[in-house]
Amino acid sequence: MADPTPHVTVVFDKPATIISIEAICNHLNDALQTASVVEVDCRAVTEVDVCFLQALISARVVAKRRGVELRLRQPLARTLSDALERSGLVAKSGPPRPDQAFWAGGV
Amino acid sequence: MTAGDPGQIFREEAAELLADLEAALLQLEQNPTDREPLDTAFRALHTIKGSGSMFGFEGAASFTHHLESAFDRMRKGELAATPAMIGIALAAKDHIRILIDDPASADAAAGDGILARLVEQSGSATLSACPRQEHDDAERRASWRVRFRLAPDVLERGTNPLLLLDELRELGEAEVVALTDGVPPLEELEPTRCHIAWDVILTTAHPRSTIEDVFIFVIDETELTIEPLSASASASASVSAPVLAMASDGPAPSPQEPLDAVPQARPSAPSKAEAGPEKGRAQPATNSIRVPAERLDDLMDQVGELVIAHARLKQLISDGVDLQIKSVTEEIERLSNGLRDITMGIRMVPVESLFGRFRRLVRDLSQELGKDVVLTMSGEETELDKTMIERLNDPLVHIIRNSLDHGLEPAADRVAAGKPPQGRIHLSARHAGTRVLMTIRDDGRGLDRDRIRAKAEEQDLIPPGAKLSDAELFQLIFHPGFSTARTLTSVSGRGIGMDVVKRTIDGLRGTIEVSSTAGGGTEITLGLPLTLAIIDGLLVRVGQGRYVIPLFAVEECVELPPDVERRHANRNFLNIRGALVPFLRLRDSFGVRHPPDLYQKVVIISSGDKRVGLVVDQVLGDHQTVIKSMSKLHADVANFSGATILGDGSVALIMDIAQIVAAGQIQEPRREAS
Repeated sequence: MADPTPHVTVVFDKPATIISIEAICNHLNDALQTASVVEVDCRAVTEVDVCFLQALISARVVAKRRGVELRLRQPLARTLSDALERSGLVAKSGPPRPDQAFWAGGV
Repeated sequence: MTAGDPGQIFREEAAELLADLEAALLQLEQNPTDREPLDTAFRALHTIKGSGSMFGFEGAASFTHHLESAFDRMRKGELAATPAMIGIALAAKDHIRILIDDPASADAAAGDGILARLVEQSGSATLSACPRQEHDDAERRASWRVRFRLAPDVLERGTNPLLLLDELRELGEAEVVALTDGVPPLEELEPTRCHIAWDVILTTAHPRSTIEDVFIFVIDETELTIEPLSASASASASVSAPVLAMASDGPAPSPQEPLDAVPQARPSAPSKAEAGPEKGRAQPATNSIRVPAERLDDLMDQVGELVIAHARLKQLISDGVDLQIKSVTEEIERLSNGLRDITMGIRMVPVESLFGRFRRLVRDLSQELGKDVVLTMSGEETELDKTMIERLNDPLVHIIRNSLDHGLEPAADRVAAGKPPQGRIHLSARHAGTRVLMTIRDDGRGLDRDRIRAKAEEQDLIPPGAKLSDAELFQLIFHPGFSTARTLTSVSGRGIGMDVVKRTIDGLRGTIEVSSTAGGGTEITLGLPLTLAIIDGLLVRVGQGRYVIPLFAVEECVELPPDVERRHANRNFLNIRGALVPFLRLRDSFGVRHPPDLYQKVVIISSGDKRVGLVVDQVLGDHQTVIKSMSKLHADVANFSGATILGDGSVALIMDIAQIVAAGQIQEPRREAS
């Protein structure tokens, strides 16, 4: 088996919603199986929903378990940062949410 | 349309919601301070708006939004439920119905006019109510802990949880925390299912019911808890620390674990009143399902076929001695009877759904006619076959319109006659054996016997000076074109309607009885079978043909003495315990040439207030009669209302009692003349 690719960037630049969520999960899964560092580039994503947020959370669970470094390229698309805030995954003010660092570009 | 057509499903749901809305508005008009109808109206509007938008009925959703806003303000005490406001709301409800049923035919100008009146009414009320409202809001603010986990398939059904959270934020200050512990790793993830739950601390002046309304479209399958936070907890909640602690360290509920099961400190126990609705609302509504009416009809048809098949089986083994087959046949009979009863029960609908429609009719007509009329009801829980309910609407509308227009006097006349100024119409329903009796009673002037008689003589319906009982005289009002009204109004008086009533009730195998007291009012009683699908019948033989007489009409069976014909050749009367009862020879009516049986039987039936004997060759016994419609070719055949299939596969015609008695009355003078 070949060594894993050190760095893979997965780009989402269209609506990332329930309609395309199967394909999005497959992309993430493939990347997490082949790379030690996965960067998700959502800067050009035009629409997101809860399915997409869940997929990223789920990918992070896998990444943690496999020791893969998963991070989001910043700055996030406005639509994604809005959805994060509306969903309660990120707080604009007050104490940060538990995984807020991840959404802000951390691991 | 398919059973799953979302647009059609919405239309059906909207029709029910609009009916609820109308009932609530009329209730509110009677009792403007009653909170319950106000909440019902608001919820109906809220649902119509939300579902309408979801299913592409944007016009209806947008229009409804304005009315919903007004009702929201009523709930907050900013607006009063004045008669004018209720009138506007009723007009708006009618407009919403058009926007949903046939948007293309909606009159935009009419809609704009309604909205303009709404703004005018709500605007003036707002000015006086606002200052007090601000003060009240400040006093009423409370903090709530709202935790919810949506059904896993909620995303697949098009619900956007972010919009729910937005709605919560619109109610006040909301600290939202997503609970993500239920999200599985990617390889196990079902990406279109919802795995996130939410925990929200909401500080708002709105009551619990408004928070619940946010979840109105998903409430049935959502695990939802709404708990008030005490003052001290509210203070700390503004920092959101307790929520975060619970989210990160606390035992977040897993998808399999109900939210209720999560250990937690309860800052304060909710009051009984608060806890009640929440518990009730959060229960999954699995007690009822929506089924297309055609499927119920199909089911009833199949049950009918089963009853016929069983009758055939029973006949086939009637001479056999195999006890095992007999035992199985009896078991099948028991099961098919049970299935028949259950199926007929499924089709039963409380008459409340019918009566409820007339509140609006009475309200609008009484306003139009300038009469003060109250509509009262009793026995609304009485159940009737759904088809019957549908077909009874028009006849009842005609009867009620006539009562309002002609029966009930203007207030001044009533007072002059020593009556209360407010007229009264009472609708009632009750079971009487296998029938339902539906009565429409008013306390008006009563029917004018002299004028009915004069009109009937003028139209040659009765010979001058004919001796008629009150009941016979009153039946004339159902004759086509018969009207004693001196003036025509938009409501009634054209002689159109009561004959339609008669025809429809006859078509339902029903009866109509009228009683009236001069100055005391009129009472019209409709006698209706419970169902149109299966009836109990008496199977008789006339010549070689077999016929079914509906059992509800049968009073008794007696033998026709052989000497009656000899002694009373042209006088068809029997002495039944001292009472003379006319009889009809069905052999003559049906033109039977087969020689009569030596001992003929007379089945005494009652139709209205008449008792009539039907002479038959043989009484075969009772028969579970599955009613089949006549073919188009035979639809106009007089004296029969349908047919049934007997156990041997032959067909028996079902007698139309009212028509046979009427035909006999026509024959009787001819016989006497001959």
